[in-house]
Amino acid sequence: MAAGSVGELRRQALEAIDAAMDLEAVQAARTTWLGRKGPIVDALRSIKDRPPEERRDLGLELNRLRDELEAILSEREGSLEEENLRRRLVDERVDVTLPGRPRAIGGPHPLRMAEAELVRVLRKIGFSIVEGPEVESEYLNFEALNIPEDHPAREMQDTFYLRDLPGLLLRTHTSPVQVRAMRASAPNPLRVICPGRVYRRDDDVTHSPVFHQIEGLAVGEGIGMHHLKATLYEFARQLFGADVPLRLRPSYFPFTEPSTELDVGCPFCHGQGCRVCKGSGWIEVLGSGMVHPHVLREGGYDPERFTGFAFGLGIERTAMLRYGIDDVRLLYLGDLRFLTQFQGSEA
Amino acid sequence: MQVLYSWLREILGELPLAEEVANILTGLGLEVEGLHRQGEGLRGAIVAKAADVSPLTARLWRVELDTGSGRAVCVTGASNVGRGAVVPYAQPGTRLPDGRTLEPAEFHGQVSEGMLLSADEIGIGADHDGILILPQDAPLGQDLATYLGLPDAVFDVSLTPSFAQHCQNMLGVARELAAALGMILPAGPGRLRSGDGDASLAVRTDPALCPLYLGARLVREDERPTPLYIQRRLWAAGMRPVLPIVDLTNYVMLEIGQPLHPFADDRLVGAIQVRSARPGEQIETLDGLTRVLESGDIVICDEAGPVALAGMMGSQRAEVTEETAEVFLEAALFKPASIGAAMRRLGLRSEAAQRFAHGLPGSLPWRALQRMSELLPEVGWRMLPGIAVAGEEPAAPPAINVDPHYVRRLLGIDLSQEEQCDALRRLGFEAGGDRELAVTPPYWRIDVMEPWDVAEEVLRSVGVDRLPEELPPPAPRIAEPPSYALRLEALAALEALGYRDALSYSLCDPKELESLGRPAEVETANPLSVDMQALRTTLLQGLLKAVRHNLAYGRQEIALCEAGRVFARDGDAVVETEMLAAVLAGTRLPFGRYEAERVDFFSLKGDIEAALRLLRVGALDFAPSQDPALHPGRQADVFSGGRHLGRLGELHPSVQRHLGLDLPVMVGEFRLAEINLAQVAARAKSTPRFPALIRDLAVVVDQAVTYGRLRQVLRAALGELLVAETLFDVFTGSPVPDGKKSLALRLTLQSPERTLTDADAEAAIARALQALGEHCGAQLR
Repeated sequence: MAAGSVGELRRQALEAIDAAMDLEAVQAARTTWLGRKGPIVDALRSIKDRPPEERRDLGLELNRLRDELEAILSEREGSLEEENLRRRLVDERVDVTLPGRPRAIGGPHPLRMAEAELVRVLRKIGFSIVEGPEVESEYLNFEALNIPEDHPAREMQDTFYLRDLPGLLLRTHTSPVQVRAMRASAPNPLRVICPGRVYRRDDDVTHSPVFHQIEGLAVGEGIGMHHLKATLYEFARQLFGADVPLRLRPSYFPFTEPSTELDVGCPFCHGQGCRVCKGSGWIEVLGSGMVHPHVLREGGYDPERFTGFAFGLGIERTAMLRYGIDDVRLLYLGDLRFLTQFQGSEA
Repeated sequence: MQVLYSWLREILGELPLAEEVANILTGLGLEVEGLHRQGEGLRGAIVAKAADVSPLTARLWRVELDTGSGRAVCVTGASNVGRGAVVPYAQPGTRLPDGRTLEPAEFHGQVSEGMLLSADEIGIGADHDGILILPQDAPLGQDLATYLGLPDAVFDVSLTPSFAQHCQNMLGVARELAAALGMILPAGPGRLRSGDGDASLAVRTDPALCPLYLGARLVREDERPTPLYIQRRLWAAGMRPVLPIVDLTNYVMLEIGQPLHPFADDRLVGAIQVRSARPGEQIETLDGLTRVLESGDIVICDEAGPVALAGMMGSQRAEVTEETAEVFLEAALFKPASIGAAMRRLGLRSEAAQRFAHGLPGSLPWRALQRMSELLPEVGWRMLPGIAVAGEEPAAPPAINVDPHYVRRLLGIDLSQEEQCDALRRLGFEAGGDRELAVTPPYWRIDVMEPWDVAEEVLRSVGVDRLPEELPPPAPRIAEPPSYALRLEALAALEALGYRDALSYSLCDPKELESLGRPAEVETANPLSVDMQALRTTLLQGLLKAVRHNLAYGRQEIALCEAGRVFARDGDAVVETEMLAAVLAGTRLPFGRYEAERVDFFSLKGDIEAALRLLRVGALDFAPSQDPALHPGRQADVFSGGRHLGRLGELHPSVQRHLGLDLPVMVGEFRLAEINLAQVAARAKSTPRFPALIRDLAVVVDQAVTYGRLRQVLRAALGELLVAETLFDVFTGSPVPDGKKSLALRLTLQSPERTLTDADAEAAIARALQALGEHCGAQLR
């Protein structure tokens, strides 16, 4: 092959490549011109048949042509690929405002959310969870908690008794769990919380016959009311914010003495007075006090040596306050319109 | 309890504004739950005198009024205004508490310049038929509100049992207030000084039930109405003014806390006796009900039988009427527990009973008689000298010895002994002593008996604001029961799969449990209603109720779960088992662009499998079960490692219909404790080093052969070579012969030791087919 025919080869190749309008044609042209059976490889292979003085130049020319064609083809391929991708991306465009492929999502009950929040805060303060039976002995529910038969406080807690099961009842509070926990731990120091379901013969907008409480108990040597106050205040600040106004008020519970109630500044009106706080600017959050010596003794602690504090609150009430629920019965209907509100809204 | 501002002020002399008093009371533990003002909004009415009264029509009267500074004419429909009566007059422009503003009106040609007012219209009573007649000495022309002491703040105080003993009266509340304000405590009435007992008033008592019984004889000397301020206060306190002598006893009870009972003396027969009721004994109480008594109830009897249910209510026989001119007045102490028990049993929460049930100071009956004797002349009555006394005044309890260190330690407030004494003295206690405090409560505090009671009084006196804040020292954590965390984790697993946690009552209608084939084992003895009578034996009852509720408002996508306890009976004990349940009905997704799959047995099964995997439960086995509440062909027991975790299935169509559910419902219920035991430890295995081979296999078997059996045989035949099998088709119908089905599986074969060859796979398949043929009658399709 003469040098002139390399030029001819080049002309034909460029013409063919120019004529290739899509990626397939370009790839076909590559195979035709640069492939193992293509004219350039052919020519290179036949160099050895040429006179020695021509071999070098021809070889150089052919290699140059191959590199040139390679570059052109690559560039053509690149731009065509880019063009293809561009077109594909336009074709594949979707209406992003169409709904997503829906997933059915579930979620926790607001009461469990409130309970989890209370438990989280109290565990952080150092309390451990204990649980106890919902069917409780009359003794642990009342007598052991300093509420003897004729005590007026029994009126405060209208009780469900069980048919043919004398001495048993549905616990009216989680306090018997405190006695159980004390009996299991005495005389070691104790910090426990008892969440659970309790029962009272009551049924209206704010009272449900079945509801939930959480109680806390700390027993040890040298536990005083200042410890109670700090614990409750820490608890309330964690729950309602560091700046929430707090106050303790004297109160009465048969199983504690002295007894106090904790009020927090109404989170709805910030103390201005509203329907939720009945205009007082304060909301009652929990009852508390120093464990009555009788109860300590029932729990196996010597009241001469040990003291303790206890507190308790209703989880329904906490949930109602936190989520603005106005009828306690909504919590027990299983109404999905109600239950699905406590996460992001449904699509 | 309703507490009147004007009454407190009368006792204490002066007081801060009502709102502040409310705050102070709440801070003392006497929680003020509400504050309203009696007669609020009354403006412009005055005192006037009916100078002349003449009939206008058969039912209307024309009243000419002397207003002190002039004349006015009113028309009234009330018939109780006579000439010379002093009456409340609302002139035109007067505003009434109900918001009305009066204007002149015309009746039968007579212009009425305003109107005369009833107690109801003024806001101080219920009487709206008659005009309120004012005393003759009421100054004409004076502003009516001023004259009546209106508006008067009324605090609605919630009394805890700790205050019910000494603050169920105005004097008690006033004392608390005085202590808080640093005022001198009001003394209250002293003991009545009386002559010797009158022999004609013989009284016998049972000291165990009634330690002290005083009887006084009262006689009427003049007919006078109950003073207006007493009527007004009774009304504000929630009691209805009745007759002067009855009103006075109620007034003294509200003021100092001692209930008193007046008997019409002429109706009593012979001597009075206080005794325990005989079982079945009956008494007709003032409210017209016949009460059947039990032993332990206390009755007041004369020689003709019971005349009062002691401390609670009188009988009709000895009721005081307008004609009664002589009264036998009882002031007594009754055993609090007896009164409390009778009050609860009979549902008779009279004002008297609520006071007796909490116990009264021993000297209070004597003080109440003293107060009565002071007030009697106001209504024209007199107390005769000579009081019948039965029993003895209980001795005052001894002083309480308290270690001041104890008080300091318990409260965590650094209070010196002297500070503690001062605090107690402010509340009326005597306190002193060198090393120990010797504390004597005032007569009205019979509830303070122990050192911790004293500590509480010290705290109340110094105020809870004095408490410092100090976190308690840490204590070792104790092991928590696994139930709490597992319950939440189990719920979270189902929630992640689309289920919504729905709590339901653990009390339900036993019939509903019956219809689910899980009859009640434990029932309440005193249910609120039949639909809350039984303790649940299954969580499904509540969840199915929720399904019905949601279907009722048109929701078709229902997935609910619950964790909670069910109750079974074991002899004299009750066993509580913690369960996890799920129900699924309708479609997964609401109607829309994407396919809404109708759920079936396998939807719930898949969810349960996924949830149990999330809970790290080991491999599961499902076996057909026989639960009459479930579809006989669509239910299974769920096992893991031989443990029975629970059951799932489709609700039996007839149960479904019975429960009023109009679509199939999938249900499942599991024992959390078993789930806990079936959990396997998380443990890493080395990832496979050699490639896996995939082979598909389709076999034809009898319809009766279960996939579970097939899989079991397959696994046994291939051993550890088979790392996974996936069923991808179940087919019946031509060309598969009748009574047969074709199952198509994809097998993943892998060796931990070497790369498997095609020959290995062929051999494995051959082995599998042989075993399947042998044990399941399977043929290669």
